[in-house]
Amino acid sequence: MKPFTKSHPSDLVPVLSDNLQHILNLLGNSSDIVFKEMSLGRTERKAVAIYAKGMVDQQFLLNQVFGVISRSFLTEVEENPLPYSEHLKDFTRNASTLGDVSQVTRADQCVSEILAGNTCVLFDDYNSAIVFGTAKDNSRQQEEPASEALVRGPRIGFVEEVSENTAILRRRLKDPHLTFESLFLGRRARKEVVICYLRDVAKPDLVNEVRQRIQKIDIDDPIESGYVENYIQDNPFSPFPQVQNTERPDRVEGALLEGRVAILIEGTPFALIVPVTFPMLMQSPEDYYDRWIPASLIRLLRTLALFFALFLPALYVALVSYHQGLIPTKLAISIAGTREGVPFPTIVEALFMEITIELLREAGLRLPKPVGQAVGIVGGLVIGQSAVEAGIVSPIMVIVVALTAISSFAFPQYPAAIAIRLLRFAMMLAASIFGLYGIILVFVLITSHMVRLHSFGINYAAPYVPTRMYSWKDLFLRLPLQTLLKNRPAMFKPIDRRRSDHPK
Amino acid sequence: MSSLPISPFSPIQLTITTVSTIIGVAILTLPRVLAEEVGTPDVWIDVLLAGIIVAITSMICLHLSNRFPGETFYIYNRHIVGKVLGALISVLYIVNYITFGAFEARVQAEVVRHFLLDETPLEITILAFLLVGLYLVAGGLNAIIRINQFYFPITLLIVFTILFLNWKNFEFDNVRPFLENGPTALVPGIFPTAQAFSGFDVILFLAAYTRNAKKSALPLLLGIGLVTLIYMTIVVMVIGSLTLNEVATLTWPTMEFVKQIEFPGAFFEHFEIFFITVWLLNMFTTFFINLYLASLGIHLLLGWNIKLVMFMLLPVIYGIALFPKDLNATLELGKSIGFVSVLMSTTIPLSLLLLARVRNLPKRDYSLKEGPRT
Repeated sequence: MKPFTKSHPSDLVPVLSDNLQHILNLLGNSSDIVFKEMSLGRTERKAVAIYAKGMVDQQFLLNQVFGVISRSFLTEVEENPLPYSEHLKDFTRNASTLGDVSQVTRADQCVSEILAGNTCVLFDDYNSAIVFGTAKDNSRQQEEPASEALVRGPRIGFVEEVSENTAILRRRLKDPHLTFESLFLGRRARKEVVICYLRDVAKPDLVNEVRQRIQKIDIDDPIESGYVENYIQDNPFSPFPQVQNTERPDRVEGALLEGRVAILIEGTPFALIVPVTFPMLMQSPEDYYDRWIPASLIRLLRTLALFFALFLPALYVALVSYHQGLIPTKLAISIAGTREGVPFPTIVEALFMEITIELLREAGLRLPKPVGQAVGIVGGLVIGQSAVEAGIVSPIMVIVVALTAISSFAFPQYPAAIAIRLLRFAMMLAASIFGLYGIILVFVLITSHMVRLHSFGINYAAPYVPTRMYSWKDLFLRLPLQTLLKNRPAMFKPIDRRRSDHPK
Repeated sequence: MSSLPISPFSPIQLTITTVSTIIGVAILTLPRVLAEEVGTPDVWIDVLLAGIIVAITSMICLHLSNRFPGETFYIYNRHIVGKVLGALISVLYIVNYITFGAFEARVQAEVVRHFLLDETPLEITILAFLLVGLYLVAGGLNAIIRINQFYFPITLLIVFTILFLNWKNFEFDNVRPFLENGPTALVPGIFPTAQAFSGFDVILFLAAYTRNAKKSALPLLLGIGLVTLIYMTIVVMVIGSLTLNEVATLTWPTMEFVKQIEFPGAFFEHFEIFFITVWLLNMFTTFFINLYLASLGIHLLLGWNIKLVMFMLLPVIYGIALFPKDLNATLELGKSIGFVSVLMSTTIPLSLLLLARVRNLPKRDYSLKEGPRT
């Protein structure tokens, strides 16, 4: 860990003005840092409280810190004329009864405490500082995450405070083996990163690997969990996300119970989960809350959505421009009819519509919600309708593009959808050059890449490949929980494989 | 010397790889080959016989490999026949795999030209095939094993769906009579059918990296049984629905057979889309292992960087693939490759096994050294 780029690791000295100067040097002349001077009783001796404005709990500061210091020195100094140094020792010894109080002896420690929202009190002729835990709890209301809405499931999401998030998890999973490990990340920002796992479930190698990869990160400020994700992923050149992110505590809970590891980062409600495989990105927590028959059907529907989102426009391009003979005769006639008068080759038509849809989606995303919806409607309906009327694209193309877009919205997780969007364009281009053969070539390339890719030592296509028939119960279908929850998925090699007692 | 790491795989994975290697060109042409060579409707018996022979030979291969646990064929053949002769056998296998890979690339290009892209030049389709293949093979043996597992369920699903959907066109009269000219008339068909199984000798090379290689016998037998079943059903169904005389005139009878499917009301009345896809995937799986084993052989013989060898082999394979003038020349090349391949995969393992027995090899105690070595 490198706490500061230019650190002055020097101890505090028993001269108040020197200490103040030292800390002032480290902190710079920031306007939000308050140096509050107070005299100790009726003596000439002074104490200085240093804190960052807005980060401390003002009420607590006044009542506890200032109150306690002035009271203890005021009354006792008069009645009981202890020498100052003895008195101070006595005070610091008993200070721990006054709440969250600790003692530090170095200037840079003082500075980190101040920046964390605590209050540092320096005394005359005293070579250490007393730190009062005055940090204000700034967490916002826990809301249901907007990015991962469910019909059924807990209405709770992570918040920006990492301590709050660990508390949420602890409240949901009261297992003594639930372990949180804190690391500090960022040369400048010093953000807290918490690795969390079930000590008796997660494979120790996996936890070590996660810890090592996080420790290796050298960055000045991990602003969002995405920074960490980018640094710890296996293959930065892959279109596929190799780390899962979520705002849902129930998803993290499920992952922990499977023997995976979650990473919480200060300042963002998005937790990371590793390892992740592609089939997992196609699953939603709700699959497990529903009854198994509807859940299985929805899984199959998603598999179909994956097929559409990846292949549909490319298949259309290939069939219409190369293999008209493979289209059913009647359909071929109606396609030919609608394409009459369209001046472009199919690939241009398809790219035009696909790019329009992507633009609409991007525009709708960045705008305020009501406006975004309006843009979607205006863009989708008006452009589609008028493009057809103007004879630029054929109506069937509009249907194909719309079906593709809806299919890619059916993905339960956004990063997977983005990967497929990207690959769809590769498919379309290949289809325009090599027809169906091109689609097959790109398919072979994608699958080749998938079987070569790993996420924290797990094959990216698992459990489909390497084939584990046991895990297939929870792949295309979601069989009843009673059969599913006997064992944890073997691919994570958990220490404790069994989830329940079952007669053998 | 730089090699790609190989982590051990299971007997099931070995089986799936073997099956994926076997299934290739023959699935399209086998009915015609049999109709030409034998000319009676009961040729499926040939497939059964060939299947049994291949099963026995594959057990010989496995048995031979298991005498030298953790060592691949390229390494252990020199323990049996000495360095020079061993290297010669290795070169024989390497050449076999290179030409076989080239043949695969060429045939897929021919089929693609015939059914999908009639104007795209062969040179381009072959090149695209080789480059796409190289990307995976550069990922090493485990990637190849995994992709075989990836395509295996898809293959089974599509092949059996197609066989099922063609049930309506099947006429039992077309596959009668049974043993009309006596059992001896079937003998000339056994050898060409055995060619359809060529590729099963990858066991020689892969058993070394298999966990519990000794327990691979049953899965392998089941796998070869599965291939035999697929071949037999295809032969019976194709002849049963197209008649023997017609099959003999078609270059790719199985494809015509698939084209027959009429599934009223379905969007895809053309099932050949799926069949060509699956067939091409299986051409890839065969090519992957061919390219890999050829590169592995050169890597182990000469000690060159295996990825470099793969790159260098690509132009060679490309050249051989472009060598035959036309489709007929390609199929002739296929026939001679198949001939050599069958000869090699039956005689070499058997004679080596006998030799090893006679000389009581291996002399070293392998039980102490666990895990695969290259």
